[in-house]
Amino acid sequence: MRKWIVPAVIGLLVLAAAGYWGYGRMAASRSLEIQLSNKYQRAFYDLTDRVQDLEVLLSKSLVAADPGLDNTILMDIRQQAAFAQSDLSQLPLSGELAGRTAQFLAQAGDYAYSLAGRLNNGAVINAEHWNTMNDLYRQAVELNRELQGMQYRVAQNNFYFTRLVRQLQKNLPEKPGKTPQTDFQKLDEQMQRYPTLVYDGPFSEHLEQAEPRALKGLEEITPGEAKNNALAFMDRKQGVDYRAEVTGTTGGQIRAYRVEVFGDEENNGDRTVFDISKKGGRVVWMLNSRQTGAKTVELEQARQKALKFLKGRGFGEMRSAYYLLHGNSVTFNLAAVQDGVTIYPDLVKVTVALDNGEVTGVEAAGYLMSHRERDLPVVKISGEQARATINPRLQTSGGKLALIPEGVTDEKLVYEFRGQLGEDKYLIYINAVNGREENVMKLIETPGGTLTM
Amino acid sequence: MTFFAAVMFLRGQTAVAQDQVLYWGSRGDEVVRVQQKLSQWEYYTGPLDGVYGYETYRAVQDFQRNNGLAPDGVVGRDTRENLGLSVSQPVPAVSRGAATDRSNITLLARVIEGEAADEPFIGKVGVGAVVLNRLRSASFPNSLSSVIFQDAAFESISNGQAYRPLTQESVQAAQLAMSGYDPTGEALFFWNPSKPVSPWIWSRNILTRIGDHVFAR
Repeated sequence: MRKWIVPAVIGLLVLAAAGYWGYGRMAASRSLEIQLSNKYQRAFYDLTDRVQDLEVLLSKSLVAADPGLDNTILMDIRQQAAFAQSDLSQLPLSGELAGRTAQFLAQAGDYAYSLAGRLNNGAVINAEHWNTMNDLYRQAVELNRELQGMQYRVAQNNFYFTRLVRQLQKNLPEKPGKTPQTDFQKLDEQMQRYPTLVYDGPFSEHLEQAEPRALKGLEEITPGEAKNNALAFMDRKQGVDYRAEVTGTTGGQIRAYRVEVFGDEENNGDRTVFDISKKGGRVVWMLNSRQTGAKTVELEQARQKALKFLKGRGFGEMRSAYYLLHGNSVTFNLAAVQDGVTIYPDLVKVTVALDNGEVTGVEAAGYLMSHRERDLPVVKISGEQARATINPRLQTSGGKLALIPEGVTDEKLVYEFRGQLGEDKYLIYINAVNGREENVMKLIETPGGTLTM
Repeated sequence: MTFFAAVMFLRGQTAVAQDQVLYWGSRGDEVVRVQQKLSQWEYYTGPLDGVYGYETYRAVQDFQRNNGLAPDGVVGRDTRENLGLSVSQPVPAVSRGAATDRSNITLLARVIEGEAADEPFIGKVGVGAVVLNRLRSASFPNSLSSVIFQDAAFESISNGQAYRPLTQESVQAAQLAMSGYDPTGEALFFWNPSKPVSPWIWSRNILTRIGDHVFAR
């Protein structure tokens, strides 16, 4: 009889221990789940509050008459929209569930900000602006209504958000009936019904379809020509036989052929990848992913090399603006120059390997999008006048003319000054037409390069 | 962001420290020096080949444990000092401020490591570019950390894959993406078609394919 009692007792003990352990695990994961759910609920309730504030503020902006009051309201709109965006991004939603809502919040905030900027510059709000604000208001009302409905269900069900997380993780197909996922889907669909705004802010949709300016009117090329252009562009080593292959295409704003160039046997693994625009056959980017060895080339040599490289490839006069060291490579930002003015929007990045001075990367997408011969505005302020408007606490130097981007579509002709206060360095941009201070940037020098913020 | 949107270069980068940080995957003379020191003290018995592999990693961890350092298997400043290797003095800061964006590079490199560790280098840069394109898109949050930690945005962040030790290649890809390289044609999404994905994703506008990833907007 004893023979089976001992194993049975041991078995029971093991079972009890496993049960105890399992219960502990379950309790722990339960408590984590509750904590997580609480965080999600907080973000959701915050979001609801912000959207409510947003609705109220937008409606106020429609009736305020005094520019000063309007300005305060607009800045509040921007702030509430930014908070709401942050709350939305903390909810367990994928881009497909929240994309349009996030976009609305970004646009509302951004539009309010651009209007406030207009008011600050003495402009008035016209009928078009008013109508846009009205559109935004109606969308906010809709969003608010949907959120209020969801709030009821969230309040009913403590695990509303943990259910949502599970649905997302398992990638479950939609089930009929009311699930959190369908709630958010419906919300986003409601928002989709409104047309996207058209305005000149940084998030404007119509700009996403802009044509690359530098490729305007150029002919389509064949894949064979793309190969030739890649071979002609790359930084070739002496005595190496290169061969090129078209390996794919790229869509988007600049449609392109993907071309890969291989060296011969001795250079095994040395592979350079290109995107060559279908229109005009220009290099959109080029990248060689080889490892770089020990540094033998000086920074200044590399800079000269980068400038010479672009010059020999039809980029005209360029000026080196900034550089950035990474590993044993350096990337220069070279800006176009027109009539002695640095054109910052037309920027090409050139990466030079510091082991042998070879150009291993070029990025010209931004340049192809924006480069053209510009009609520069007439300078109305002298360099000295501009300098006089700078905060007198700064020691200033420089004062060259430059064109800087403003938002996405605008550009401004400015004087670029370097300023120093104690050990801190700044860049100050003074408008060369009206003398306004357009921007102040702080320079942060690090061993790797210079940052501006 | 609103100001120099086209001049993203200004959000420059810094990640080059004076002393190279060594970790699993590093190669070169510095690794040999670490291996020499470790084998002198019998932590390491492998070849002095300049390749930071599993053996070196274990040896560094043992050394760190015995010296009261966090055993992360990464040779940073403290470990270097304890190994008796030369440590360059920190460069006196030019600026009184403390702003850098080194943490952004690391964060971006994490996503690249998690999502594209086995992809070709261009594919790594592409994943980094997608993250940065999202930052500029109105449909996504507007800070790097909230884009990356957005729920269900990146699988490797959700399941912890991204917290592997970083490789040099991922860091380099992050730096190139930060300095503006975008091999994807401004994509906002990428996925591996051989894995199960939400059918919704195929309705996006496909731009290109790099390695095993499809990139779309």
